[in-house]
Amino acid sequence: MAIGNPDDGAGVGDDSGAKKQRVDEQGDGSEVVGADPISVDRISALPDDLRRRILTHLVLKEAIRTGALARGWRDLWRSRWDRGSIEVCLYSRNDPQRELGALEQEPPPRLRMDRFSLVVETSWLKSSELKRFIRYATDRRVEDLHVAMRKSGKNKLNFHLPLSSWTLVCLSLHRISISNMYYKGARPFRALEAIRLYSVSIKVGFTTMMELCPSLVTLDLRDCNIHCDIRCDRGTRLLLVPRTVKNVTIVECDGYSKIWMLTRNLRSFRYSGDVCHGLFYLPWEGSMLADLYIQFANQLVSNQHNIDSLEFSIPKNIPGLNVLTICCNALQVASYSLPSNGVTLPSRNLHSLRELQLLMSDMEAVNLADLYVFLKSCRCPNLKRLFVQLSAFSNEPMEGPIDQVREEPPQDGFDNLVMVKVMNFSWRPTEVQLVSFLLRKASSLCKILIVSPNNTPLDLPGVQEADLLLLKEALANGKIVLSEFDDATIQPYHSEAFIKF
Amino acid sequence: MASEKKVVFLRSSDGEAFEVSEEVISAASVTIKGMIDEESPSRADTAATTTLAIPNVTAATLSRVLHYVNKHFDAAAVVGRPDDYIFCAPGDEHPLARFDDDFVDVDNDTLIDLVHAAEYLHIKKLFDLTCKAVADKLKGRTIDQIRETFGIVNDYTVEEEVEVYRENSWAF
Repeated sequence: MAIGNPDDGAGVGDDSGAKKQRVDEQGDGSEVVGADPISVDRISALPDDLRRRILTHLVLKEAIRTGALARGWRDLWRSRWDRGSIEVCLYSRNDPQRELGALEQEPPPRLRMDRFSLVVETSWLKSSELKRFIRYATDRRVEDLHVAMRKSGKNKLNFHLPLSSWTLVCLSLHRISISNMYYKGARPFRALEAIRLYSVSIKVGFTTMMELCPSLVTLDLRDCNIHCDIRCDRGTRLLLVPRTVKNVTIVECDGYSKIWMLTRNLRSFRYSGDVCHGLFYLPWEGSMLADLYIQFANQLVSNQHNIDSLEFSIPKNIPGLNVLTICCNALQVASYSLPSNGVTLPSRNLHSLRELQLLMSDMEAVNLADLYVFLKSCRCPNLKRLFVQLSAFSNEPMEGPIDQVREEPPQDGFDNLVMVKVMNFSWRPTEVQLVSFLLRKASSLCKILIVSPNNTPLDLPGVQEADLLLLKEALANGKIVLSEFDDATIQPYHSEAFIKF
Repeated sequence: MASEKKVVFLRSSDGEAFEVSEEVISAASVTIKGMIDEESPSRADTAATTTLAIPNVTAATLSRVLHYVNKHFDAAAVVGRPDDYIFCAPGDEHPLARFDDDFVDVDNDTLIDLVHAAEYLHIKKLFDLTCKAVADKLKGRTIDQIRETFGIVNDYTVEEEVEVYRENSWAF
């Protein structure tokens, strides 16, 4: 039997010899010619050790990508090197010295190191010890460096980027400062593609830091204090996102008053923060954007200047966009920015949109009206999944007169919607209205998953009788699945921890 | 003793025998050297040639392997080459760099057969060369392209796949 042509390829047994002989004479050498397709392909069927050896010939990024091929490849890259990934967790005052001693006694560096992770339980680490850890990783030409403080302490440690390895591809820091020392004459990190900073105080000028990263593709800043070294007129502090960057996440950061994208290749943009000082100007037209997340922490103050400038923050035509998450405050902007003559024609081309997530921290009549206006203004014929995140804290019964929704719901555009999931549903009139609207208009809808603290229908004042009947009917025939607990298997694409209200 | 070149015959899994210099194959393959050493007491200095069964390698693959071995390990051709020269980048002027490039310029199945054979026969240079050649086919391609190239079936659920991307989103 030919190798790699397993015996279970039954049926070819007798004639395979003859067939193969011909193949051999041609010097073709391809033993599986004519064999039935087998369940596992030949490269995946290689023993793990062999595949690990193959992966050692790849750079880290390419090795990681093989993890997405199929289940059998998922974590193989992690073990491609012996001691290729080292995690150091420090729990007590004596740990740093002991760990450093052990690491520094290791035999001379191998080819390279994939990942070095240093997690410090408290801030007992001395600045000099931190430097020794970084030097250890640098000597071993680390590609992915992770340094995290578990709790913020008084003892603020500084991370000196220029002391890092030239082979660095991915840098992530938690609760540590990036200091402004040693930047003069620093050489650029040509391999560095991803920077993730959580709760980091960036004391060095942001633009100066970006200049050291000429190949940066992913920039992920959360809860960071950013020192913007570019200031425009009237004290505007400009956060410049470099040209090379394709993926940007900026969540709850401080220190800038405008974000300016130099890039035209933006693939992913996620923003959460204050709308008043955090405006961004995105190159929407002709952009390659595939995933967009917009959450404004506060409501719009409706003066014309504000709205005009915010208009640039809301998507218009992004034919390549696959996933959109938008909050009710941004929907307000979208609604304000349309002509007020009552005629809303579809003007936003979101042809590829498959998933829409609505972050409705408020769900009053006006919010639902904003949503209707937005949906009417969009052309998204391929929308398949809709997620509605309602506030967990709005389930007290409403008092006083109930506002009517002063906007007619859209008439069409939901022909391909198959799945809806609503979180924190509390049977308020606007919520019931939204669900009944979906039941009426989405012709292909298979399931509406509703997660609600009340798993029997409530009849709250103001709820339209017909709407509630429709919901009850859908519950009875199984189209609506009501549950108290979240089904973890169906989650929106943007289900990261920074969604909270 | 006449310094006639000793030869051994290697019999492939499908029964074809190949002649190769004992000296050359011993230098190349740790596995075969081990087999020859085991055999040697019994054959002493008889004229009978030895035939070794190589049960895991087909004739097609074995003939390729021997082509490689004769190029790389024939003492007349290579004298005192450092073993690790294959780490040279393509385009370096090592005389066999071009040969190596052509040698692994084959279809995927042939290449994977060679990886298996190099590992089984324990020919380090060939093993590194073929592993690197497989790795080169993974480079610079999208995940879908790699799947297509090697016929890999994506058996992830949508949720699992999203999770894999999310774990190291910067790499995608």
